[in-house]
Amino acid sequence: MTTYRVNIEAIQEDQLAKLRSAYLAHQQIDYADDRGFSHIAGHHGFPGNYCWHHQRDFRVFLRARLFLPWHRAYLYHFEKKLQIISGIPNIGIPWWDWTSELSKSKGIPIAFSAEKIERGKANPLFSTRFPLGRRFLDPATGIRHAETWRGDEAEGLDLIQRLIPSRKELEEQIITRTDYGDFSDYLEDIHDVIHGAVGGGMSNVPSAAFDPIFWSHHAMIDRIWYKWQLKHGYDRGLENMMNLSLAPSGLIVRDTIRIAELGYEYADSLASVSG
Amino acid sequence: MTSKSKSKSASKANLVPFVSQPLKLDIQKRKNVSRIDLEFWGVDHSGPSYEGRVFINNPKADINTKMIPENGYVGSYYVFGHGQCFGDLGHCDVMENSDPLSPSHPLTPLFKVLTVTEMIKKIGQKTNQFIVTIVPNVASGSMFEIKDSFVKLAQMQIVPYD
Ligand SMILES: [Cu+2]
Repeated sequence: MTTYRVNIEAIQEDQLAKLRSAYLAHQQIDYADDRGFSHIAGHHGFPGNYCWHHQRDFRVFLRARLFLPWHRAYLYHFEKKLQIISGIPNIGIPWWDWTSELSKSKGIPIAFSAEKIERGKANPLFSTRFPLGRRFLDPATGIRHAETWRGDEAEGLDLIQRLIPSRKELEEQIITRTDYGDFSDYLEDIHDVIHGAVGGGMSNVPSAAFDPIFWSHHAMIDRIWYKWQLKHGYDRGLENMMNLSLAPSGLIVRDTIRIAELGYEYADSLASVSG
Repeated sequence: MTSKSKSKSASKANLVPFVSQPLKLDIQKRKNVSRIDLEFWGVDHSGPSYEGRVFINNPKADINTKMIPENGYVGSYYVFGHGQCFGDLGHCDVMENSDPLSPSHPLTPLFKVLTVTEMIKKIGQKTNQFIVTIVPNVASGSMFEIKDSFVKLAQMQIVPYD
């Protein structure tokens, strides 16, 4: 069965409850178990340091832009383990459309910004603990964070309003940016703004992937790439990179170019009952 | 709001903007130019995430300067930073790698670009010298220590295209 990744702003209550229980189960797995949330989150920055971001050396003209395929493989790996650990076989990472009118007026969606959910329980989509007893020092406040934290919401909203394109502007860019490298750089620049707009741990590469919103931010990036591929071709721009490794997911670039082959799809929302 | 948020904005005000040497370009003679890019090469991202607010010929611009064309504002680039080094000694030193298809070190300085066509053309009517000021607006809750300036880059270029 296909995994449907849905819009967090349109997610149905029963799906949201499932999602929360899946993330909670995943987050409770010990760091030593490489299927767990914290182990996989650790691949991105601290301590694994695998992630691909836009390095461009001015001494080298050519440059492999693996930002999009690397994160696609990373999300796929995360989602598979989330499904296995939670026992919910088709649970998908929801996507956060930060170009939506709601996000442009309110900022981070409530599903991620609510600190507590029913009966005063902590929201597993708001925050999670860092592994190995790690605490991240925020010198601005002197606080040592044992859990992920966020920045000031008003400052984040200001960045989203000023520096994130509207849905219409984004759609125009998807059409007019025909060169893969140009498109990838454009998308990565927008991506950087969102890391800073969420702020706190999300704004630092080493701690970013521990924030549960990281995965939904990157699902949006992945979805935009998918839309671009539908317009301009699946493997466009990646011809010379097909066999490059996307460690530590075990995939190479070729494996990532068609999301249908990875078994997932982007939908707006989902209604489902067991038969 | 709380005193906490006050001290936060005070600390932002202490961050020193980056002011470039003048870039020299006779743009009024170039009639066929249709696009002008401002390129930032070798931008350091080992520090906090920040918005770099870019102003042209306004070397006094700071965090309180309004981002409007009258003040020379041409746009912002955004840097997703590392915050600080979490590894052992040497972990964050950038190693040279001349193979374009192999991974570069995660802290290899990055490249950013802004398209600034109209503003350069307009300012270029009166002068052939362009001073670029970058005012950092650090991400809220980002891990950083206040240094004089963490906006560091290797090179800046104005590139007109016909
Ligand atoms: Cu990211």
